[in-house]
Amino acid sequence: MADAGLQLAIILAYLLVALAIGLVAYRVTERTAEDYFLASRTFGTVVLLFTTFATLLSAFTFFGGPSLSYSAGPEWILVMGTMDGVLFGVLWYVIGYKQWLAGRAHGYVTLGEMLGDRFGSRALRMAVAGVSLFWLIPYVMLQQQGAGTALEALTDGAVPYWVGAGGITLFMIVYVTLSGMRGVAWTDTLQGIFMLGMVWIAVGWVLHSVGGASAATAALADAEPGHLSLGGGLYTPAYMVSTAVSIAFGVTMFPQVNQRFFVARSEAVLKRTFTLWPVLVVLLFVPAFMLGAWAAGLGVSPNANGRILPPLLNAYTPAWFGALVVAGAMAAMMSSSDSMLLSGSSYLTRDVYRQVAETVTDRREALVGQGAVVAIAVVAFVASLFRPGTLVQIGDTAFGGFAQLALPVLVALYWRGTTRDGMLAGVLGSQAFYLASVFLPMVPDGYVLPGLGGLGAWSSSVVGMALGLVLTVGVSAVTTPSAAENPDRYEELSAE
Amino acid sequence: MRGESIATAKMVESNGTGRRRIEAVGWAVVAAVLVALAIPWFMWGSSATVAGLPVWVWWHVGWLCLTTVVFAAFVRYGWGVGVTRGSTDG
Repeated sequence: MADAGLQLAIILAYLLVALAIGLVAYRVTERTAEDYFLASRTFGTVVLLFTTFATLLSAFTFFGGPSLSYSAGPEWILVMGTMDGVLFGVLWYVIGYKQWLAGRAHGYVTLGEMLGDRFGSRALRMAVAGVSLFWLIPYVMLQQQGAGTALEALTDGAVPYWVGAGGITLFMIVYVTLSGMRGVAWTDTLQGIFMLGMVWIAVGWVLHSVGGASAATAALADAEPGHLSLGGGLYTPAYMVSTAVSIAFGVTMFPQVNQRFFVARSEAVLKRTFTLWPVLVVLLFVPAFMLGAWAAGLGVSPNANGRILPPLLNAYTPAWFGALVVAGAMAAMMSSSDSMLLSGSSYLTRDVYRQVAETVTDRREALVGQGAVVAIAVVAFVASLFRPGTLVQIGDTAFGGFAQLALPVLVALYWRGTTRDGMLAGVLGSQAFYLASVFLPMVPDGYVLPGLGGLGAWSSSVVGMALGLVLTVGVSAVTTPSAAENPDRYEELSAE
Repeated sequence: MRGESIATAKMVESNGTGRRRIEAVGWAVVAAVLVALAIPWFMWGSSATVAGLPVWVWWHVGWLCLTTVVFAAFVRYGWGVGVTRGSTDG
């Protein structure tokens, strides 16, 4: 392919810019754990907004979402807006603001640390970290796989899968280990702005070529009339609500997002980010998913990986622009993965290593943290070479797995009557149920409510969340707190 | 005198707690409405289009813009409700 050289050059240039930003961040980063993992809680609005935004996005924005809109209609816009735009915004306040206050008052760096301190329980701390790493690492693997296959497809195989995925992994290791949270957030900001720009240019270009949005939608109405009507097929009310609820709550417990609740410089930053959130979500997802939906009316077929956006851009835009969008997709994938590596490393270092190792200095903890980034990245990369079915399934169901943590945490943050035993029951019980629904054939993954069959089946993730809530509250009610618990830990917090 | 002022202070405090609780419930209802109507359920099955997009996509775009406005109002008038003041255990 003649354009392969040009396309690779564009992607390499993009990577070099990101690396340069990482190096600048390295120069100002102190060698302490709080600075490495949290940039010493100093982020302003633009950086916090875009680093959270970019972290939420993954290959799904460019590949999965548009492809689903192509095959089933653009209703995913509504699912995405409801979960990321509205529900996540509400949770940003209810969970995020409270966590920020608690984190600032007591110096927490991870979720497990916050819970372990309140409940005086090392077991709970390690359980939360263990559950998180269990879902996180396969998810990182899927991101690497996405980047590897995208590069392979873009270059028609000139860059084999393992070189592409390996190169991206190595690149991320370098800038994450060097620059920590600050470098990750700065590159996220670049990546977020880049993605947003690319999507709008792509929409403009494609619509200009086909005669405008009305013409594109009319063509879609002719080819797939069902796609324009709200609901139908895949999209039952229960599917849309289950997906939005499960992912929105799941997102708040994903380590890389949860940790961002700790990093705002001030309350004003949290407020501004919260306000701008819904608009930013609409700006990205409406155009990205409409592109996929329109493709169904334009006679474009998905490529060998089942992705619709690359062939659509090939049909209507020059090759260099397609390469830029693939670079944008890799930016999306990297901005999730780099943050996941860093957060995963902080969980491993603080909630596991420090719990078993004696007398750890700050400097040493930061070093171990860097080692853990390398270890997680390499393990996930090697796994992506073999892609064992079990790991793929864990990665695919990770949002549901994280969602199980959200309600016990919410109860702990607001109800003084919560006990350690209640937390352990809620966290471990819901995980056991959800895992069983993913892996055991006799435990179904969809539940139709009696009398409400018309709404469709509710996902096991939502059912598990309800179970976790009942277990946390119920077991807390019948157990008494141990002497090591501090029910007042999250009370009387103020922003002053 | 002293006893009286303590009683007054208690009354003010309990009135304040009551008001804060109403405020918290009010904002919770607003949040629930924002979430519930982000998907226009009443347009289920509709495929009408306006200006090149299905009407239900326009509704969603408008609703999320409204959400930003409501979030801005909350930041201004309600921030802290249920978290730093007036939490259920007071």
